[in-house]
Amino acid sequence: MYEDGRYKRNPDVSWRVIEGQAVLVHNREGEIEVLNEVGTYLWEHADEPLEQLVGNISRDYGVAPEEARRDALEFYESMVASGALVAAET
Amino acid sequence: MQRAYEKPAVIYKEKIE
Repeated sequence: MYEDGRYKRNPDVSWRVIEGQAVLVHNREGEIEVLNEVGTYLWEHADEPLEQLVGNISRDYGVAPEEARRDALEFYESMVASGALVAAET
Repeated sequence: MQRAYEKPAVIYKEKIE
């Protein structure tokens, strides 16, 4: 289960935002991923508290906080599974 | 004006050869 502060962006993943969409390059695996707008927001702010991001998304997009939280957690877990997010050093 | 919400997702993925 994804938790605040447990993960960070993988330093082996190069990325930049192009026209509002994050393009991630997994250098070791030789894969690229493109994120949609909300995914890009979550990726750019992955080091910030989840509840703060959920509040911002809920306000900016008019979506229920419960839905925004559920989607954000699912997204972050998929980023961990793909290796884009890795465990932060303790 | 509020933006349309889209569930956060990977919208494109490709293996680079």
